[in-house]
Amino acid sequence: MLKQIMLCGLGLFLAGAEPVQAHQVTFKTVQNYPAVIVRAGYEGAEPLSWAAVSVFPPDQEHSAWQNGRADKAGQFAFVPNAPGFWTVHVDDEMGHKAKTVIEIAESFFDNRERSIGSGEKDSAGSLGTQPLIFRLLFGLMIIFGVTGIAYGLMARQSLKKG
Amino acid sequence: MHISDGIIQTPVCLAAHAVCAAAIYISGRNTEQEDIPKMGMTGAALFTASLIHFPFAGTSIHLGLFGLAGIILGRRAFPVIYAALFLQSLIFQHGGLLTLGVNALNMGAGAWGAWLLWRVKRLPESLRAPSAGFLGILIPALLMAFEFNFSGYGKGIFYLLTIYLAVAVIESGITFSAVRFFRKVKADILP
Repeated sequence: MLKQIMLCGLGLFLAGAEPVQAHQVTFKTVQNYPAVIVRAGYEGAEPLSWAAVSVFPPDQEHSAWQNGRADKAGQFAFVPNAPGFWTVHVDDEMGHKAKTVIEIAESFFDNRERSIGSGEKDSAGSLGTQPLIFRLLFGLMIIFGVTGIAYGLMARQSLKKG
Repeated sequence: MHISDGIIQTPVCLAAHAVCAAAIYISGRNTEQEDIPKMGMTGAALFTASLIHFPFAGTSIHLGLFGLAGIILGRRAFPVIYAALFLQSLIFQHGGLLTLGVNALNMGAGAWGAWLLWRVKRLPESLRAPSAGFLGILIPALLMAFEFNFSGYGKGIFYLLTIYLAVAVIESGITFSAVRFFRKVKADILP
């Protein structure tokens, strides 16, 4: 009887302790074009801080799309370029590895036009976002403008001297 | 050839800006009225030249025209190169603002080297013009390679010199053609 009770107790102990010792990794994913944001944490909400991350595109298990590290909060992001099943590997380098598969649907890219459009609108005042020909003309206008002003000033000085 | 910010150490960049200020003063003082249009046109050509790209050896190379600037403007090429690089940095993000002084000294040295060679009148013009164009690229490329090496990027950067040799050959042809054109159309632009 005592042996049975001890075995039951040991079984319950192991059953209760297993998730804590194994540190099962959980993933939370937010898809917001153009980026997919992933938060990796141990079960119990502790984040996988600075874990090594590898992202693999659909049908390419051996060629990483992105390698990097999660931040302190266990978060990282990647920018997929095609729909399909993207695989994410995380490794906290303390013996805890996990992988998850994220499905990127066609509809994820539906917001492409809207997102790009709003991005241009936000930075419309920045010269760097203007077409190359406008920037070239802008630079040439400055050069010829400064040249004209300098020439005019020197001509005026010459007239005064003359 | 335009070095970006973050590659050369900040004190070196600041020292280069100080040297540039002195070089601009020395090369720009006593500028005559008739020099201004030449400086403006050459500045516009330099500013635009960096947009003319050629695919080569897996990378992209572009013109500099520093040799031609040295031939036409002589010592006054320096402030023009500085102004063109300043605008290229602001408008095209070619090179950084912090490294502007280093870039201007590299490319200004190319223009001055070309100018000194152009002044060797005992050599025929058909030899001086392409050689000046060649030097105008080779000197900045050599300086840049040394600066990268001293900044801890190893000697691998010297392999880039082989690419700039190709640019120098193209520039020597362009400089030779430009000098011949000016000699026929407006010879007084050439000193």
